[in-house]
Amino acid sequence: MKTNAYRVLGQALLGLLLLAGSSAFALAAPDVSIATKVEKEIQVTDANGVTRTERVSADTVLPGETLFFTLTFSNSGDEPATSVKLDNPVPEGTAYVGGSAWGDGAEILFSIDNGQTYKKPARLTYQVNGDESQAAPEQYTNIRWLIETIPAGSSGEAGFSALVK
Amino acid sequence: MKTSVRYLGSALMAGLLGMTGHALASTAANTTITNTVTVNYDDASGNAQAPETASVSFSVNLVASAPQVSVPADFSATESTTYDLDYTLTGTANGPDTYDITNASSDTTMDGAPGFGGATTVTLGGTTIASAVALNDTTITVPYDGADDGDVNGLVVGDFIVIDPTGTAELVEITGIDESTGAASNTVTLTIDSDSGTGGNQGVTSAHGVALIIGEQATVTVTITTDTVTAGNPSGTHVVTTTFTSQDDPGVSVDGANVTVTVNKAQLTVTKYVRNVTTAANNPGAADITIPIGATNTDFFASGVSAEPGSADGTTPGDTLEYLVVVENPAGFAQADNIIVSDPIPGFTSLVTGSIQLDPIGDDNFVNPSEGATDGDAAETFGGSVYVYAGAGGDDNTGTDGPDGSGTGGTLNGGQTSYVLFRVTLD
Repeated sequence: MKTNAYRVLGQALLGLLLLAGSSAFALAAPDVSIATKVEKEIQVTDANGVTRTERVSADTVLPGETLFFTLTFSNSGDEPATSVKLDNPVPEGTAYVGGSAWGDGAEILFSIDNGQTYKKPARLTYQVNGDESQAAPEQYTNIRWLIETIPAGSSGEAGFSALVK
Repeated sequence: MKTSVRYLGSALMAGLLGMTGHALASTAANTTITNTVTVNYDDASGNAQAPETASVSFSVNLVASAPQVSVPADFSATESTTYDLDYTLTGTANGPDTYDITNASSDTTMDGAPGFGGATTVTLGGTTIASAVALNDTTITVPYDGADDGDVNGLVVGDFIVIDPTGTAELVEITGIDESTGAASNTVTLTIDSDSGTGGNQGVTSAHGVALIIGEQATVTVTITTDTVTAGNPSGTHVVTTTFTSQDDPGVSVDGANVTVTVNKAQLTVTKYVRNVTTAANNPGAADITIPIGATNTDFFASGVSAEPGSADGTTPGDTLEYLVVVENPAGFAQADNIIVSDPIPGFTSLVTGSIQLDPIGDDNFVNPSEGATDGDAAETFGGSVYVYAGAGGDDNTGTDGPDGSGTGGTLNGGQTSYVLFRVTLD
């Protein structure tokens, strides 16, 4: 009987601990989601003959067009997300447009070896017959945004442009 | 402010790129491009969390581009005759496009414009290189067009394609298409033959880089029916311009180089002369034409020749007359084919047996009709007429269809003349 009483109590305590533990775990976790969209610019002339540039969703594109990729991230958890890395290979059939990558509070790195290594543009070099050359933007294969922290409940954007080959 | 600066930069970039948009057309039409982003992150304690991924896709449209056009050579023609004009086209676009074919003509000393027929449209497939092609490769990887149907952006097995038409321009034939990898890798494989099946396929003879255009090469035939040459002129010209216009973008078109069709008028003249062989005094004084018959220059007359008939009792024959029929194709006029001269033997006369002689092409070499001899079998008599198949290659077809006046006429080029002699005796 004594044994049984202790066993029941022990089980009850363990259940409370687990419940508390799981509740604490669920409440204290980041939950980052990501979305991406692609747009292009068109010229629109209104009824007054005024022409302006508008961005529209790029469902179809033409070679030579510039595309604007936007990455939207948000942390719907209740704990900050840390050491956030957004990795985006430059899409096949496009070429990265130099200087176009942006991202609030992000450090932006690039790869020319399909994401094996990432560096700042100035340090992206390759060797041909022993001669070291600076990589051109169109040679970039991947882009990485390093974001130190995404606070709980906050969101942000990053993006880049690429040219359709 | 930051956003504004970014947009300005983008606008400038788009402007610069727009100026060279056509030159950059190097991703195949109907290619699906996908952008994928992955986010990795830790929690506050540095524990890695499950990554999240998002993607967006879009497809590439055709950029219309004028094809390269190879035109047929100028040529000579005859009136009211239909000819084929074969144009060889090579696509330079990043995808398939159909081109409308229109024809125009500038005409000189012709009664009217020519008639045009034949092809009114031509479709050329097109794609781009997805992976670098090395020397001697027999396969080319190209973007998937989204449909596994044996047709890659208008290219099918048996098509001839030109790799990098505005550069290296290497012509090969597609001998196989494998689209089984399309859905998974977004690329498909073309197998090519560099020698059109003549053996020893060595693959491509040049290396080719990624994103170069591959354009189909095809030949289309436009027909032209010549009009008639304005009276008084031996020839006229139709200068033909054929235009190929993109259906995808009617603002994109190309004129083939002009093709000059020189139309020569065919104009035979037939003149008949006569002389009195028996009684020279019955010929007028001045000859209208003199020709060498054998070693003798012989005079003939257009008119003024008289003849004595035979005696009423038939004991004395009448005069013998010799006729000369001259068939001339004047210099500068078109070749005349299938020339058949039929000349009824005059009434109250009888053909002198064996008197027909031919100089088929006016080389002063008269021959007697002789079956099997070159140009010597080009005459026959039938139904009271002399039939002469004048010109080079004339043949009475005896042995094939018998003596019935339905032989095969010969040919006289412009500037050539055919002569026929035969004699009759007045009854």
